[in-house]
Amino acid sequence: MRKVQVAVSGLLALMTVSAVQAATDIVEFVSCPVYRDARAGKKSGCWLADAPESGSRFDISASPVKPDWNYAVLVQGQITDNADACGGKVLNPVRVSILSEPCPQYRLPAEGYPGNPFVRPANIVKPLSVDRAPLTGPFEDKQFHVFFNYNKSFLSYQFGDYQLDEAAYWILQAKPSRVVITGFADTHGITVSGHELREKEQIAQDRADIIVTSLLRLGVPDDTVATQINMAPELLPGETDGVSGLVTTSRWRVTINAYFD
Amino acid sequence: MKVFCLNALMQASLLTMLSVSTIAAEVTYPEGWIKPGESGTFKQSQTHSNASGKVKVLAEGQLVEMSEHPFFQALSENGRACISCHQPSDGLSLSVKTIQDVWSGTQGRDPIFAAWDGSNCPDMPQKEKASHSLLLDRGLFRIQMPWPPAPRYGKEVTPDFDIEVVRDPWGCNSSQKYGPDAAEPSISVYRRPRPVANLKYLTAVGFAYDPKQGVALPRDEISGEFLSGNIMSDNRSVNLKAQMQDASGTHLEMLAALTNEQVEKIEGFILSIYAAQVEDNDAGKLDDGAFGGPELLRDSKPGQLGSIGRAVWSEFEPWEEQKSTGVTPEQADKRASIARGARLFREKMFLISDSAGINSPMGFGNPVLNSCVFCHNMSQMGNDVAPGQVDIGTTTKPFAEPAPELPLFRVTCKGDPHPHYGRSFLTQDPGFGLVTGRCADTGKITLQSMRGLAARAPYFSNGSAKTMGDLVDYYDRRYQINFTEQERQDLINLMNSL
Repeated sequence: MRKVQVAVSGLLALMTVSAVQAATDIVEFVSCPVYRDARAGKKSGCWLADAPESGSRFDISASPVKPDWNYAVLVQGQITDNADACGGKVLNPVRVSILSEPCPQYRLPAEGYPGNPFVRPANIVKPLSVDRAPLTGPFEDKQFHVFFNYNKSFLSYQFGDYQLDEAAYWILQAKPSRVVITGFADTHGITVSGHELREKEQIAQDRADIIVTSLLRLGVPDDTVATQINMAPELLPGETDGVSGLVTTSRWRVTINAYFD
Repeated sequence: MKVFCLNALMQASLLTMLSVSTIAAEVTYPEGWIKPGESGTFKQSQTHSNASGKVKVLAEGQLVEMSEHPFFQALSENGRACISCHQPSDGLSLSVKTIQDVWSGTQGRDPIFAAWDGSNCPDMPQKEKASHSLLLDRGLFRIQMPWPPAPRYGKEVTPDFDIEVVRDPWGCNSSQKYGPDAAEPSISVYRRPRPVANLKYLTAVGFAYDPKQGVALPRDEISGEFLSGNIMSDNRSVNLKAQMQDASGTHLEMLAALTNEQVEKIEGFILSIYAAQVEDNDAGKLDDGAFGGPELLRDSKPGQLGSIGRAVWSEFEPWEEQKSTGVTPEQADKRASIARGARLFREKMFLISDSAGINSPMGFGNPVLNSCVFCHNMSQMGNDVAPGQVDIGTTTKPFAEPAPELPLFRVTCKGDPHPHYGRSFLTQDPGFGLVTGRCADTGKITLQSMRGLAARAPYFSNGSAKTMGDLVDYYDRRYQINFTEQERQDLINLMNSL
């Protein structure tokens, strides 16, 4: 019975997201990435990808996780009018998930494109040597989300690690009596560019385990932490921290609920 | 050369190699060699010559009487002490030149040639030079790793890959006694000894996360401090105390564990040691107007990212605008070259590709445009602020040199394929994968310490770069950097000055 409910809710959610994405210039596609060898300093090379549905070329360089030129990528991003520095319509925000489908390596020369000079992301984990301002209460029940890439349980550098660090810091300061960690996997999945993309069930547990392990190592008391998994993640509102309007990606997450019972 | 009476040197295990009647010849050691049990105090400041100039070693704190200190004492029957393979003259490691000199001076009877790991395999004829060829030619000691891996952080490790022996030139991976099919299954790999100096940098922690594993850093079970992940070539020991116990049980062949008192003494001593090149044959003193040498290492705070603090190798920035007063034109030229090398190290961009620990899984992209400091990012030291397990291909095909003298293993991933090598691939040393049991970690080796390099050739964990030029050339080929001859020489000059 419960499995049926999960499937239905997943389907409803899928329909909802399609509507949202169509309305906000959000594109979603699977293709092979192209690397443009622009040279404007470290990390300035361009990542491009062509949407198979339209043939349009997009600049997906702004993704927190960049492509691997040996594998296809799932791209979800919002079209902008930003200046073209790489040879494609700029997507920002944009999320790239690396898939297992192989691709031929393809490197373009700069061809006059300047590329994207590296800018340190605003939200990154602070060094341990930097003092952090203490949080002041009163504290009440609070929810955090840590986002992953499609079918991955890896805590992405300068993205997922920051989200976790913010949650951990709050938990360590607020000292809730109970911390419930829910690992999600979108086993119902989505179809993009003809690819049926369903997450493995095990990913939900793996995601939860990574967050639990990390929280314990960061100092959250063992006896306050409980875990659960869920195969029917509902979409989060686009304005949720870390979602940035790309609501489909919100299913690939861990949710941390802190309670003061 | 130091001359010692062999009778006084030989330890019990060596007597098994020779009849007592032959022990009459004098033995000689290279200048600066400290033998186990030697009396006298360890000098708090000492310099030793090498091919490029001089390395300087500083010891902080109280004077250490060597004969009474466990770092210098032969604690087991094989006659070795920690000092055997961590000589100040070699930047607290051992160069191949020194190893060859010790062989010549002792006719191969020094404890560093102990059968267990100072020969290619213990059951080879120990008197024969050929049985020690990996140590003599490449500076490699045998490391016998349990297979499947030992528990890590208190948890059993179930490997997600199979390992098959493809080539076993010395029989240590395919006999009834040694290898994956032995009664106690193991994999033997061969590695260079790492320097026991500047260790506060290797234990320093910059951030609470391991970006290469995608998880918060583990904590030390006893101290509760975060673990840096930068101890040993494969981080099989997660802190210095564990490393000492590992070394005493293997390299020293101790049957009992080190006592707590011995561990404390050794740890205190090794954490007090700083080593760096201090003089260049052509440039002169490396701290003359610049900040080479070990003093800045000793006095600086470890664990700082060069990109947000003091730039890596900015020690030589003052030499970018050379004041020629007081130096010869040749000195000025060499100083300018070292300074250019430092800037190249930071600024020469190239495409880094298909290297696990860089291009996967953190999301930097494959390829990613960056320079040497992308990984060698810690100020003053050039190791990785994050846990530094990276695969640049020195041990794994297709990037590794053929090296028929090294074993070769076929790794077959049982779950997801390796992100860059696929389902099945060949390696001479699975590196970090032998510790974590993860296929994706196979071939990863912890970044090397970069100070005192001139004192301890050859380079890379498997000694595949005999010279600094070989090392630069490896990177040039691997990542198609296309260094100019001048750039190549500038980098060589820089690294010989660290």
